[in-house]
Amino acid sequence: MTRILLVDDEPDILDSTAELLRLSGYEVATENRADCILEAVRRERPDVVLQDVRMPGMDLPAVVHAMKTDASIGEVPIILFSATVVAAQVAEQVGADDSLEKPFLPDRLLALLRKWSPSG
Amino acid sequence: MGQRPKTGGADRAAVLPVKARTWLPAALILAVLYTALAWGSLRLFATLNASTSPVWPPTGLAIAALLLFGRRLWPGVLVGAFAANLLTSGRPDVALAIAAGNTLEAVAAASAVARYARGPAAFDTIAGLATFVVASLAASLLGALVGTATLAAAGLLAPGDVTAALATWWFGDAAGALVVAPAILLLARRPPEPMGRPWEVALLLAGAAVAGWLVFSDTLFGDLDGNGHAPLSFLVMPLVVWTAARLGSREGTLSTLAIGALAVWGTLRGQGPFADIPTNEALLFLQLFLMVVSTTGLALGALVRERREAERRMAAARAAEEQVRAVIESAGDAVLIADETGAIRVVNAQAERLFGYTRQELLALKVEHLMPGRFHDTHVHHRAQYHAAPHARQMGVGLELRALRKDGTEFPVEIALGPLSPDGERWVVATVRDVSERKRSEAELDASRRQLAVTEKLSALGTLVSGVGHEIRTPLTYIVTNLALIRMQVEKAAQGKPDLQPTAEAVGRYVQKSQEGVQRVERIVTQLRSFAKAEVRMEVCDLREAAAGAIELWTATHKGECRVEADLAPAPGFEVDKGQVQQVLLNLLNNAGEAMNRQGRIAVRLRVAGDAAEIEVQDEGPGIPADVQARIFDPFYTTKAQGTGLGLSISRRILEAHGGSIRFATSPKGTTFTVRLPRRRPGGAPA
Repeated sequence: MTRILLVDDEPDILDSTAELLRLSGYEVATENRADCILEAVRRERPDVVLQDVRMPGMDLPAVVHAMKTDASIGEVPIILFSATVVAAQVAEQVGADDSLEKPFLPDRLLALLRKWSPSG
Repeated sequence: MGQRPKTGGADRAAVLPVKARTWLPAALILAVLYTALAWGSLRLFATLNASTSPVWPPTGLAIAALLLFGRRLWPGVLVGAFAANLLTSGRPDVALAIAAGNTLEAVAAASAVARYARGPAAFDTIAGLATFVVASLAASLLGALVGTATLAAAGLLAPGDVTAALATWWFGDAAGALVVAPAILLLARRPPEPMGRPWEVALLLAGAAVAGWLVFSDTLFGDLDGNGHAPLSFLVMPLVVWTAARLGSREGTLSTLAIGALAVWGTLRGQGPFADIPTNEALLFLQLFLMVVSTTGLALGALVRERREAERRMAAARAAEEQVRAVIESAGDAVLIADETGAIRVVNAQAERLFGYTRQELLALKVEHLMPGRFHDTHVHHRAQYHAAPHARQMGVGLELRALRKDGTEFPVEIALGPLSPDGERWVVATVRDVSERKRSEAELDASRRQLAVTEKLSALGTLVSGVGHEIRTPLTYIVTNLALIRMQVEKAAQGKPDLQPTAEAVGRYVQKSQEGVQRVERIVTQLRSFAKAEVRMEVCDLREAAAGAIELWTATHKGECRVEADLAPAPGFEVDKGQVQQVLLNLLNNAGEAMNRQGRIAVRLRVAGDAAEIEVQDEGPGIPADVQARIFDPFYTTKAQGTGLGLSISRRILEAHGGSIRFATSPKGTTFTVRLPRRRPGGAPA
């Protein structure tokens, strides 16, 4: 089963999206604190990371860079989602793999996840 | 202009009313002059009776003095007449009674003339002269009646002589009044305007003197038949008539005086046409003759004067008319003068230009022909109302007044109306101003003001939305997600339970609709945010590539809809925000597709001319309705069920930020939007 790590500081988004993904057959872990992201990635070993662009106290480029380069983490696709700026531009700039603008339709999210899930 | 009374008081008509201080000397001088003249006349001419002279210039002196200096001077007449009569008759009672008659005569004549004939100005008009003649004749009769009665009562007059004495007295006094008074009054006045040159005056007066001498002395023509005296009195008439007509009443009376003096002199010497009859009768005929001559001269003088006055007035009126015409012609606005029936009577050059008719054509029209047919009835009604209470005013305040040119085109006007009453007719002066230009600029100003106000508001709203965009999008996100969860849970619960299937389907529809609503909110937030985005990110690019990219994107997302035919010229080196320019083209393509119900051909053309490019997007839709055209660039104005009403307003904002513009041409066969972009934003920093 594909494991997703969902990172957002907004509990309502976190809860509903996690529920949606579980009902859609994914295994979901959540993290709402910026300083715990890398730890969560190492702990949960997700197949895909869904990462909010803006969180209090978070340095997004550093986080993405760490995920991409940390030997203890390994290869993991990162999808950025954002409610404030053009997500695609940010993703390109920081080296994330894909992007999604909030609000997003569930179908669109599921399509993206299917794209990046290891099993295809 | 005749001299007018200068002061109030008892003698309004007096030219030089005596004041209290000068009254006594003035009265004394009058008394002395009167005495001298009266005594002389009695001594020279009184043949019938010592107190009865057929020649009586004192009456004229008295009337003239009372008219010139005021009737308060009457005691001077009384004293003078008393003194003269006392000197001749030696009887104080008789002298006093006669003097009273003389005074009464002078005061009555002077009062009547002052009251009814403008006093000393009586000879300016025929009516005044007639009044003077009648007053003089009546007053003289009064004086003669008193005098004759006094003499008869005193036994100084034989009963058989009463009638002759009365006639002598009357004619003597009347001739004095009619010959002497006008001469004094006219000579005392400054002539209103010199009517002849001095040599002409001298020549005519000399002519009169010669004629008088010829007629009243027998030197040349006396005893033509060796028997009587030549009846040549008519000879003087042309001279007097000529002088009066040519030079005026003043010189006319001088002629009369000269002729009168010569006539009296000749007649007394037994010469001239009146010499064959007894002296008294001769002098009476002479007086009649002089009265006729004097009155004729005065009448002609008054006529000439009245005619000159009328000519002067007419010239002034003509000059005034010329001035008015010049004012009307030089007016900046069209001026039309119409009569009560609406027929046009006067127009100026501006009216010809404004309405496109020639002057002759306009003068054959009625004012309602200069307005569109739908206003004719109301205009005729309004005209009647106006003529019921004519006054200067603005026409149709608060109404949109329209005028009609010869070529049938209409234009908005402002009209000011004013009454005009030539010869008692009721005309109206209309000043017409074409206000199309003003209306247009007002409308433009209005539109740009409205645009500015709306843009400012939207900028503020956009900034706000941009700031809270995150806050809006976050709940939208979990609303959408939770909606999906509701559907999933219901679907799960209904699985294998056919009775719940309809419920699950209904919930699915509700969720679908709710998600569409969320998307719409999201779209508005996004568009408002682009409003707030003041900056443009300029880059140098080929507009052809930008346009082609936008067309490709639109075609990809609108498969199976309209066919886009692009004809794009190369347009390198344009400094624009490529993304924004593409957004403009996408907006225009969207509109074009929707205008044609997504079927048909959209033509896109790109042309470069000098330092600007124009991109046309042409559809084959039904065109933009007239009432919509003015508002299509207004934010939130939309005719589409799903439109935000922001597409065109954002497009215009983007183009204006580039120093460009957008315009459109529409007809029932389609609409073409034309975007114009400068190579570089004016005043903008190079990229």
